[in-house]
Amino acid sequence: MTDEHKPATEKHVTIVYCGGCNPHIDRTAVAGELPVDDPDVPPGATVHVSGCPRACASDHLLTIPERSDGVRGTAGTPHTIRKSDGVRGTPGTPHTIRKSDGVRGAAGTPQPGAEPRTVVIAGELVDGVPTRAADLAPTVTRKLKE
Amino acid sequence: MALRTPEEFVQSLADLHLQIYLFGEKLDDYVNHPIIRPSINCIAMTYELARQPEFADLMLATSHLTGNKVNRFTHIHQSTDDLAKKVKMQRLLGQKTGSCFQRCVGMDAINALYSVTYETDQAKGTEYHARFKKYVQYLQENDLVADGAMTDPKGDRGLAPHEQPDPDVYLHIVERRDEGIVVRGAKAHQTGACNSHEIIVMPTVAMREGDEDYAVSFSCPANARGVYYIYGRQSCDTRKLEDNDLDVGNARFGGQEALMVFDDVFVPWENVYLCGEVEFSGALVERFAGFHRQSYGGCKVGVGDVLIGAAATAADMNGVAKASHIKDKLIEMTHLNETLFSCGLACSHEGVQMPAGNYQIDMLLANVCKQNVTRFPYEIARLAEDIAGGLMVTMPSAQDLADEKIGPIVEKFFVGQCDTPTIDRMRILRLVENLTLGTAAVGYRTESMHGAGSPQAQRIMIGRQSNINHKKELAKALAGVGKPWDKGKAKVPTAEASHRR
Repeated sequence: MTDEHKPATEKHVTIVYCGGCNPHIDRTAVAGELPVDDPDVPPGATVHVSGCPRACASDHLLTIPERSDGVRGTAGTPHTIRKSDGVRGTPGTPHTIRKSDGVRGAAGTPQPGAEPRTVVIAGELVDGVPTRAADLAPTVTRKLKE
Repeated sequence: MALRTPEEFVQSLADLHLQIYLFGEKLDDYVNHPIIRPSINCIAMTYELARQPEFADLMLATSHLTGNKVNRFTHIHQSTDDLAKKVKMQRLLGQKTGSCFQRCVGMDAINALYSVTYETDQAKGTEYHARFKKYVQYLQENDLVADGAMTDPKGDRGLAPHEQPDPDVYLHIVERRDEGIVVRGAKAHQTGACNSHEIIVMPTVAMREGDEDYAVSFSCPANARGVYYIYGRQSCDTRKLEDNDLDVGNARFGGQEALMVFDDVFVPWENVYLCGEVEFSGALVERFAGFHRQSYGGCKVGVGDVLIGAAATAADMNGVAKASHIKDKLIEMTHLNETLFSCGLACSHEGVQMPAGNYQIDMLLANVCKQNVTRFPYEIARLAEDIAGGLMVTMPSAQDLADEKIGPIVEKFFVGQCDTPTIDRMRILRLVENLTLGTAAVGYRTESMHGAGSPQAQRIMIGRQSNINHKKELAKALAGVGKPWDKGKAKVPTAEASHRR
């Protein structure tokens, strides 16, 4: 790849949007305030941005549970959340920590000290916790840098 | 313990020796009382169908706590598929009983408490969730029926719980001990309470500062010391005391409501799931109501199936099945019934996984579902009465039909289509009567109105979640509101201008 084809900055955060049929919040405005290029955010982070509590961007999950090794699953796109057999993994079951079956939490090998995070915005909720619209981006930013 | 048989369930209910009052008397053999037994048969059906392989997919689920197969009524929903199967199971049971089968309230209570106890612990550092999970496992492993008890008598609706002249009109804590709490009060309209092994109490409204003693949730055995029941009457209920199966319309099945009184009942801490955290009582009320409003998109649909079938059969027996207006009315009834089912499924498929890991229905769609339930069964019932004809409320009694002298007269004049025995025509008309204004109308009509919250409660929830500002923005964008307007361009239309556009 030549330099001119390289992105100007490395994206540290992937944004996954819902379809936007019933937004309670301005999704693009919230996403625009997120630290997508911030080197303080461990690479590989994902933020699912849904406009309402139905949480379609994260396939109806209000939180992406942590794996047993302490790393949050990184769904990447909504499609990778779903298991190949069409059954959603449930937190606390072995399905959520296995990598080979395509269950959420499957993306990438965790790097010590650089754990990728996944945060879910669903309307005025961040990881299932009520959060005012104005506080969405600061709350998510804080979580990404934790 | 494995899944219980219907017989084991009935025996286990008798073994509780509950304190039940009916017509001013305390009952001894309540499981065989003719007014109560049909309601017990309904819950027994939830055990019966769970044992039949052809219904296992709906009636059984895999516990996320133990990995064992459990009756779905004791299950914590683990996916949107679980939510949808719940609705389908309820439709099935409505079809099999033509009644309220009562076991849903406990299922909805455990699913609401599962997420609320988790979130309370996260915010307050309490340990309710671990306790509650143990309790759910106890329900599952023993295949128990739990009553979800929410509605307090409420006294003066204009006053907060702690402002009531009689504090007992809202169930409340009267004493805190090292080993647990003592509660006093009552829960009204308790569906299936006398047919339950366990009681799960929740607050009835969102509480605020000063209401700490009223923000309480706990479980206790249905036969706990100090708990007793006053059985609710139903329209035409004493027909069940008559020794015939004709005039009741549905001789095997029926619903049940009771006033449940807590007269200084002790509850150990291990069964307390909310104790003074007023800010979480609102979430608990909303979630229980939400799950129960979803439920109505299944159970009432199943009963509706029976009523539509009864009306269609009555039309056959009356010899009018081919009349176009009859066909159209049956189509309308089906359309209304399936709309309710659609709402039940929609709020299930749009459900979300909560931070606790369980799945919850979409609140807006669940409230839309129940709002429709406050209306459509009434219209279905009206059309059923229209099709059935006035005979359903003017027929002579079973005793007249059995009488040696006038029985043949009844037979002669109430015959319908020539190959239909009069007795069968009377049976189907009595079933329509039972569902529309007899004992089952408690479940099919008034419970559709007020059960899981009266219509205004849903309208408040719909209003809160309607996202009206987004709708305004959509309209403004299309109408061009706020756009600069050049009035010089407002000219008489011409073909040329039209082409330019």
